[in-house]
Amino acid sequence: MTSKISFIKLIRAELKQRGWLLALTCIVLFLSMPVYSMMWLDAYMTNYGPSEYITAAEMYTDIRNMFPGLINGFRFSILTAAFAVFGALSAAAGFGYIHSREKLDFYHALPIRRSRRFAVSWLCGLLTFVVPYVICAALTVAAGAVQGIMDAQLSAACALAALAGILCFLLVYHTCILGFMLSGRTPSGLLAALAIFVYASLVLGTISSLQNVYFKTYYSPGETLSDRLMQVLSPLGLFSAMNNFTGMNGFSPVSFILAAVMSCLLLGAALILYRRYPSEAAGNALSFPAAAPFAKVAVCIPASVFLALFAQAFTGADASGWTFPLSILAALILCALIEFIYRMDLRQLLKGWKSSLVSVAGVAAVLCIFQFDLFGYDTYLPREDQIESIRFRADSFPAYLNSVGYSTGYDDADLYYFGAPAPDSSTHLLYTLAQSGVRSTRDESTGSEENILGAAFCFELESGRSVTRWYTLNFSDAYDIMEELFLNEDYRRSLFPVFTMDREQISGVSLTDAYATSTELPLSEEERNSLLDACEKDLLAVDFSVLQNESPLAELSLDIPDPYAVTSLPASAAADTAASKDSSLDPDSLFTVRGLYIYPGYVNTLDWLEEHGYRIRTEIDPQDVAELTLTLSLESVQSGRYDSLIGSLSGTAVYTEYGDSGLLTVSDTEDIAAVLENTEQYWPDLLGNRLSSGDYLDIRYLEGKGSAAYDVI
Amino acid sequence: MIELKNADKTFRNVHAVDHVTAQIRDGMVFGLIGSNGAGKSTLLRMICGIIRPDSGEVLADGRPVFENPEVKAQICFLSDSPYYFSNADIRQMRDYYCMIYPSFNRKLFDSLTEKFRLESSRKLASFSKGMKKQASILLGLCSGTKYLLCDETFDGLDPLMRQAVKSLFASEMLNRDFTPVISSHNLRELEDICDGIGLLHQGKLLLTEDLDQIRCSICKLQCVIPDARREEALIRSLRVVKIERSGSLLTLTVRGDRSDVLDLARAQEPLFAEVLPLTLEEIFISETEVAGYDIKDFLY
Repeated sequence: MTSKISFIKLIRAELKQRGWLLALTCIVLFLSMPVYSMMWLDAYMTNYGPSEYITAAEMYTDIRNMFPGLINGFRFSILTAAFAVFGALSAAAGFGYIHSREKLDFYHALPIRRSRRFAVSWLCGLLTFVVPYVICAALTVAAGAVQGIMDAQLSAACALAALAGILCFLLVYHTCILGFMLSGRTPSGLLAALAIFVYASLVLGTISSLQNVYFKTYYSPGETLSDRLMQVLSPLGLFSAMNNFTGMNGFSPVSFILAAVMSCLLLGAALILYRRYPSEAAGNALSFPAAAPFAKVAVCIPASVFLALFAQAFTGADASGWTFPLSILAALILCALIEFIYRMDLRQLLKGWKSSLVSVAGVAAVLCIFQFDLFGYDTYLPREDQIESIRFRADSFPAYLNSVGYSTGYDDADLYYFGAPAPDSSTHLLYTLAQSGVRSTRDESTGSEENILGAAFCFELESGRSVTRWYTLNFSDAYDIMEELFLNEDYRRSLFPVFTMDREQISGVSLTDAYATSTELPLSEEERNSLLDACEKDLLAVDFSVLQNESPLAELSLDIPDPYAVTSLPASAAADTAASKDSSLDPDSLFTVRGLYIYPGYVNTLDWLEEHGYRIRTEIDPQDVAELTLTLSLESVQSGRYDSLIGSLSGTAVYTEYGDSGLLTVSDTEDIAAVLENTEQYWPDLLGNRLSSGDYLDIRYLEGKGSAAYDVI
Repeated sequence: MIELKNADKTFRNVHAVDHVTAQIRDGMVFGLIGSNGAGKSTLLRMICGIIRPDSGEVLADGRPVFENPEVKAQICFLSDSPYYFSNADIRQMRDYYCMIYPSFNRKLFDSLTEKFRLESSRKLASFSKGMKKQASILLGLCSGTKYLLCDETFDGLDPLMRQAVKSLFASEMLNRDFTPVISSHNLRELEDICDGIGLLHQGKLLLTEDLDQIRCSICKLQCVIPDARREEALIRSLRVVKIERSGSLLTLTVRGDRSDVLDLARAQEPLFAEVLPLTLEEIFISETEVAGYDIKDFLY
């Protein structure tokens, strides 16, 4: 006789047994989705409703931007937790029977193939969550529609958010099923699921941390390879990516596909294991005992190192000194803990001593690899003929240029920190500089702070790979090479943002002179372009020594749309911006590109400003100042560098010392003139050789002229 | 027919079933007896396809059982501790069995639950252990499968119920192609119901025969022979499994036909000689002692 049991009937019978879970899911999702959304909308409209600061349209725009986050849990962490909890509960309800001999005997004795049994349990778990979730998402959208915020674009964003929520659930659900297949007990199955869920993140994060702790040249700008791998290999990373997804503009098809693929892989692995699941495994910690020592070693090594690094970070202990003993200690404790989980018998903690020994040895080996740099990370330099281009960034560049990277393209987060690649003609010089960095790292040669310079290099190889390193360079070496690099016009063009930025995006130009107050220049587009042309001419002509050694007269700042203020475009404005090149930018959010300094030798710029009636004030007129407050650093107080100044001031000057610093406040014109004569405004130099004294001057100008503050040399 | 061909199963360090070869013919009540941990449950779980043998084959009607729904549809397994869905009552379990086993005899089940006074609306969780077993047996019996594997199912049933269940088995065997396989270590329970038995000891099948044949092939001889040499000659002439002596009374557990044994004993001119049949329990103890499992080691 042939057994033809209806799949639908099996599903129905299974669902009957999970009524409690269905009810619980409905209640929790109903409360945390439509009910919470209505409360949130009401509260938002009450607290941030139209006022003098925000218009109704802006408020609706904000709500639309945030609304999808109410569906995928980004705006409500309890919903995110619900995805994880229901994923685990669905797995336990559907597959927990394999951990009970009675239940397992019952189900496995039935004339149903294991794969069919698996499909029934899996589908029931999915339906138990997805059906209430989709209904609650629809109710949430309905709540939004009642408040008048829904439109086609937001509806699509909400649908994607719901898909992200389902993928979040599936990642946890499938991980838990796989964890259950690896174990014969539910608690250890959940532990196994946790290990699978975080394992890739744990390993990759630990490797990154070890590189940071042990490698002198390690440099991780923005998103590292480990970070990228985490988002691909780790269910946790993908869960996080799905949860952080908030709307149409945050939509990343790759993340969705990767989450779906990861989910399928976990499910496939679980199915394969289920078909081989030994029925006698029920009640044992591991369903495949032969895997016990391997699992122990695989978990123990990264987890021990991670715990040691975490403990160090938590206590603020010295970076590398404690790592080794703490890791070994953590390995021993973890081995004992895992053995206890395996055997549930304190007397048998040493039973798996061989795998414990391998774990401890593995931890020691990993730490030795990093401690002694056995793979030559710190001394590695790609062959020059392999290099396509080099990006170079001295540690001082951001302070001087203020906006390194904004001109290089907004999407490449890594390279943002480096600025534009140096022209090919400069590659050899930079390579030579990097070689000197490798030498100083290898020889561990250090010098006084004035003689050294930290710098990061990004070697972009012809293979498409990027190698980043940070070296300590000899200042004079760096100076000489920079001088040579500055002979190359292309390098100048690559270094200064003004050459590469899209002028059409510049919405404002401001001028800051000795008064340290910023004045917006009301320029037409034509005037703006001619001013920038003049600046560019001067920048191309200026000698490197000027940028390094002279103080500028003034500074120009340029306002551009903030490339990192990526938000959902308001639906109402969609039509207006449909034709724009980059619709992801919020035009209201600005970033100020500073660091366009004007030196005395910038004849073109200075002439342009004079022609157009903009006067640069080279020093502050004491008559314009109502009050000056000079904050003295501990060093200045101890050295007594201002003692004679303080002694020469009138009786109206007030000097008080408190704690580690001193505070000098003057309001008399002569006193103000004396203080201004004895202080010089700090301007950064390109290689960061000029240091601020740590003193600080607050200037309150006469009424109507504002106030300013700057560091003092 | 169920066939075990060199079936073997090891759990970690425990050799639960040690290369067992046996046949369970259709239409007989087969008893699987053995000491605790002998491998009875493992063997039954292999027969019904819960456990895959490490090596060897388990066939039902010539086809492998494991992951073979068509074959498994002919086998119903009743675990020693039956599982019911949480909060389920007897009707819900009946409906589930109806769905799984198309030949489930719903009418018979309903009438039997009534006869056994099992309340159909009462939650099974609130049933006593014996009542749960009764429900399990009725579900298995009415599932309409050819083979019913009962793992220590009779334990926990009161004598009246045991008798009733035995009657039901007999009735089913009359009405349809039905082969129950019952495991137990309570030998008296099986003695009056089984047609054949398999004796398991430490994973090995010591014997598998028809019960009548077993009873005929082993017996107990009690005799008093004054002459020590004649007594020794008698012992040498018999296939002795076990020797016990109480004063001058010699008790021998002997393999062989009863009349032959008696003739051999009488040939040694005993003062007294008598051949007695062995109970199943005595057979079990004797055979396990032969296999090196002495009950006295256990007790003292």
